[in-house]
Amino acid sequence: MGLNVLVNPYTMTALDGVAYGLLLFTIAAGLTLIVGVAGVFSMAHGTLYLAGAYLAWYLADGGWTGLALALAAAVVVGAVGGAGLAAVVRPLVDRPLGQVLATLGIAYLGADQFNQVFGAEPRSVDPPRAVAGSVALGDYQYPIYRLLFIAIGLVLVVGLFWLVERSRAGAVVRAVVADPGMAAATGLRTSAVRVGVLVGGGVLAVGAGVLGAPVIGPSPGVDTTVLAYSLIVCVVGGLGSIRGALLAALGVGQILTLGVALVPGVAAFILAAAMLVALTVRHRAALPGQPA
Amino acid sequence: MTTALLRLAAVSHSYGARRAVDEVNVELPVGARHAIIGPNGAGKSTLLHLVAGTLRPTAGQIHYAGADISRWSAPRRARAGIARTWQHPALAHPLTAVQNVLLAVPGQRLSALRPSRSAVLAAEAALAQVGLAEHADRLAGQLAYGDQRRLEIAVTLAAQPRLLLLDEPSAGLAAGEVTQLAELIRALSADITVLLVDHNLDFVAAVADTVTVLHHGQHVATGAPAATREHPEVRRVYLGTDLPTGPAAGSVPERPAATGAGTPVLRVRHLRAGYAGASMLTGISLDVRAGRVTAVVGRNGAGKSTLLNALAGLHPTEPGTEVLLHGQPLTGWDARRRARAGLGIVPQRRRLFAGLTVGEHLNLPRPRSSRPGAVDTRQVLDLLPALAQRRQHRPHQLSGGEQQMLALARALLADPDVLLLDEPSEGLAPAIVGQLATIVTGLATAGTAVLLVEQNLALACQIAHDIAVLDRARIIRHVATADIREYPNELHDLLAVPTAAAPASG
Repeated sequence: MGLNVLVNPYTMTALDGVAYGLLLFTIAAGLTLIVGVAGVFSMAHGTLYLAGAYLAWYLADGGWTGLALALAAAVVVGAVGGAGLAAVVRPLVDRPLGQVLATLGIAYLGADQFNQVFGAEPRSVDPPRAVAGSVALGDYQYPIYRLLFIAIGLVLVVGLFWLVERSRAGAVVRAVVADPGMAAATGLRTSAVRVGVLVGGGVLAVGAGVLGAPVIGPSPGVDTTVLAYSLIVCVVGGLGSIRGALLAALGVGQILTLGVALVPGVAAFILAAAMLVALTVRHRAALPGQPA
Repeated sequence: MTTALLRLAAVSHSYGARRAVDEVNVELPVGARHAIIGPNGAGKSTLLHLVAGTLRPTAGQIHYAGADISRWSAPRRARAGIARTWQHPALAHPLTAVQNVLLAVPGQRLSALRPSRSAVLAAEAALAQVGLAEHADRLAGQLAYGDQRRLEIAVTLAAQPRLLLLDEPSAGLAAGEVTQLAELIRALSADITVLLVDHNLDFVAAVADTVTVLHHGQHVATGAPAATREHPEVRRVYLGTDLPTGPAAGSVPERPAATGAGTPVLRVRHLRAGYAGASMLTGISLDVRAGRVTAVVGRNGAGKSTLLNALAGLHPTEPGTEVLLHGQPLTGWDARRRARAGLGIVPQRRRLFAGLTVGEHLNLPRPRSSRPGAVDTRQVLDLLPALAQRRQHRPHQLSGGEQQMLALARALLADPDVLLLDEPSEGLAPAIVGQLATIVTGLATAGTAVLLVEQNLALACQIAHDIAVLDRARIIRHVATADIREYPNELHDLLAVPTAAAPASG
């Protein structure tokens, strides 16, 4: 009985929003750490996602092998991409606008290459056959892969929280976010931390592309869309804050799905208004002890 | 006093739980020249921000020209005739001097293609008033630092203020420039009321008719400069003579020290450093020896913290500076390399990592590989037992004393050969300061070289073997603590009760 109350078109859309939000979180968590730790506003972050999505499309074979191969390739591509970004922005330390331009250039080059290699038409990526169908939730059919993605997303959330908020590596990262000078004077390798975060963020973004391809499939323009949403999540959640990124990503996910369903046509305005409200409220009541 | 232009009635401002300004009452008649002084963290700048409107009082009222302006925005206050300068000159560098001043001249139309003749005349008059007429067409960014300061005052004067707020106007100026600045302020029209904050007590005495002394946000005394100098409470807050000096006093000098005591571990030669073009330190030379505590004392703004930050690699030094650790030059080394080489710093205001627990702080430093297993967390916690029960707490949940202990623990865990301590007693209760003194003395006995920067002269005398006095960007005295105790009045002269001609050589 309780289930029937819960299962209606709106909760189904809200569930989509959760999947969407967790996908955004996986992408933006890397970006927020990259901005918070390395001070690099990487405009190439959406490109990494799109690379992952094309990897998933290229290697998809309808089974688990393709997905596993794509994930393994994603780790390599993400690490190489992150290290490459670190090398590109290295001479541009303390020149944030230079970094923005350099990474923006990389993003344009990437978009052009994707067009050349994969063509301009959108590609749809099917999940492995075993999870391709749908499952009955009350009177509704819901895609199994989306539920699986929510589960994977939750595991990633827990893992990232543990890594950033419980492990020593996370403490080092947060120390560099809070006060880079003092972190160096405590003997921490701040430059290694910066490269590490760029590599980790790259792997997360490409990995999110592989897993998220059935949700946001590869097509030209996806890189900029994903980048814009990730930047919104980073800014609203507070740069360098994983907790903030999670809340912001879930919020943006709901606005982009439930918001569109409830008040179609003005969802973009709702997103902007919600951003404004969130930024104003956060400015007045910063989370205690969190770097703003 | 019925014609008060500015009246602060029990004004308070809190940052979280800390009261930076605590129920302060100040009254300024028209034409007053009033200065606010006090040690670091006394709330001077906060008070200026409250009057300028960049901060709002959390309690109390600010009356200006008969109106309660407590809730007015900063621009509204500016339009009502309150003008201010900033601690570091805030000028439009790509514009010329006269263009900078023109920006502030009131009554101009935004749509005007070129400034009206009267506006240009007003701007030129303001420039002439501060003695910059011949530099009118030079770019602001190319002016000498002292001229930038004067230009900033010209900008405020062009706005035809009734109340002029000056935030550390003498900071970074050479002695001659300070004298000029004092004359300039004295010569301002009697319609203009001046409220200034400054560390340079000579300058304050030359400029101000009345002085208010703040300490920990609270009003200590108000009166003529000469009278406040003699005020016992003022001497106490500046000299820290309320601290228990009894137990350790006299017991420090020349104790049998650990191995290698007395050899210089850190040698500093010709250190130069500054901010935004202003020299804070020129030609500092200093040895820090193993097993000994060297204290650098000096007035606020003398450059003590800049010295420690420059040594730790947190502040750039100028060419010609030579810093040797164990005979190894540190030129070009970043903060991390210096830390790994054996320099540990407990910085001013502690600089703990927001959001990290005490336990995480203690896990961050790794003992240097060159001396494996020299210290571990347990040993440090034995030394600083207050932290053991607080491992899950974050810095903002700790008391000031606990924060200081955590900053000290963080530095000690890297097992430094040289410990740089920046005003460790700042904001701490006397009992905690006593504990701190014992710990630092113990560290030195164990062979660590300690360089301590203190405003609290009593503490410095209690734990230091020798004392260097920093004044006007250089070290003017370097003597054994025992000797300095024989001349307490001389130190008082140097630190708190300055004369126009302070000794220039030691």
